[in-house]
Amino acid sequence: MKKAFVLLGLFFILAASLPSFYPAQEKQRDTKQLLEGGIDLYRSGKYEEAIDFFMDVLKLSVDKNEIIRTHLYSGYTYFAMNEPDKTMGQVEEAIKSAPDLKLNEEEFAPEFIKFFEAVKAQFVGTAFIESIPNGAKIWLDKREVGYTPLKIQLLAQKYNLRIVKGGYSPYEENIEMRNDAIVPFRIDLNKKKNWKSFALSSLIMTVMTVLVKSL
Amino acid sequence: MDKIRPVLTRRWILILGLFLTIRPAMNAEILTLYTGFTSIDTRYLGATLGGDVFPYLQFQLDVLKFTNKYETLSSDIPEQDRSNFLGASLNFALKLPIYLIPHLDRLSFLEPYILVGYGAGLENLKGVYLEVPNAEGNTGFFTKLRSYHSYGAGLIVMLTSGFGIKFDYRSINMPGLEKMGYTSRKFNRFSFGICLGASDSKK
Repeated sequence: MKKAFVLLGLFFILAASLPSFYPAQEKQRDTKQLLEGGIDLYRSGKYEEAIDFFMDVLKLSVDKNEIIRTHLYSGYTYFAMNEPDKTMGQVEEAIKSAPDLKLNEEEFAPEFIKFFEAVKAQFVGTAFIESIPNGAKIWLDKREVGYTPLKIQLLAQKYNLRIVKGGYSPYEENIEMRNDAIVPFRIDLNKKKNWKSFALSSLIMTVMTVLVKSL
Repeated sequence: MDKIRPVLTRRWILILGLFLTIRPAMNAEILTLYTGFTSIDTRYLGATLGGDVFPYLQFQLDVLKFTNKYETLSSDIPEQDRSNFLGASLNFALKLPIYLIPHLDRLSFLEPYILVGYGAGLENLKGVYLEVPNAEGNTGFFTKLRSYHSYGAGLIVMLTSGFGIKFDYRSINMPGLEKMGYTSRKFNRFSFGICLGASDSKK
């Protein structure tokens, strides 16, 4: 009897969660269609209508890649409408979400790509991170971004850089990225602090213990 | 202070010499202020100054003082009152770098350690005792020093790169001094305190 109640309870919980889950999927499908619709409108020269579609996507979408793509196409549409301020605003949003974003030459016009790169240069710098020895895991603001050596484009702002390699002391530093610059980081992981030096310290400690006992 | 106990003095000159030799090599300092209780129902306050002399090996100077009397050794007769205790010791602490283990690097804020040390405690601070000869007929300041060994373990939790909380357990062993009529004593102490200094993984 008790089991039946539990099963019934589970059924109700599942049933109650379904309606909220279903529209989320549906909404996602809608935003994808809206985005594609907006792109089609752009291609057919209906810029104002395309912008309306893109704004709807930005209101509804929760998918990061979709939002970035929408900002890009909004910027691209404003670019075609000769509205540089609005273009810049949309491009900025896209770059802030994905500093390493690169535009496909087959998808966007060369003038827009040039504009995009110019905006990017105002906000993004390149960090070249290497360690001695290499192969250390890199974390930026608690987000794993890869292994050394790594070349990565980052927004010009402050980051917490953390480099970790098994057997070496973790390295941590607050760094500041500059825009339109290549900033090299060459980190010598603490060679003094590794298993070998710990073994040696343990040996010294053993000797000290014997000495203290004899005092 | 007519005569002093030569053995104890020689030891202390050696230890002081060792401290002065090693001291310049200490490349980072960590100061701990702590309080705690012992297995003999006393409380105490203390301070530790330490610095690395080798990776993972820290040399420390530790001072502690009881803040209440040890009842068993307490006496109304000043000559027999040994309930006060002021101790100073030199210790070696071996840090256990758990963060070197792959995937445990995030635990670098935890700094466990084991410790061994040698020190001496001033058991009686009564001035009158200075004039009372001991079993060997000596009087003076040094007759009141009582050496001890300490063995312990602890954990420092670094809350920031320069501030942490320390938990420490130590076993204090005072060998007996037959000639002075002092039996061997042993007690444990547990302390907790604050650490000011550089985190081990950030040095």
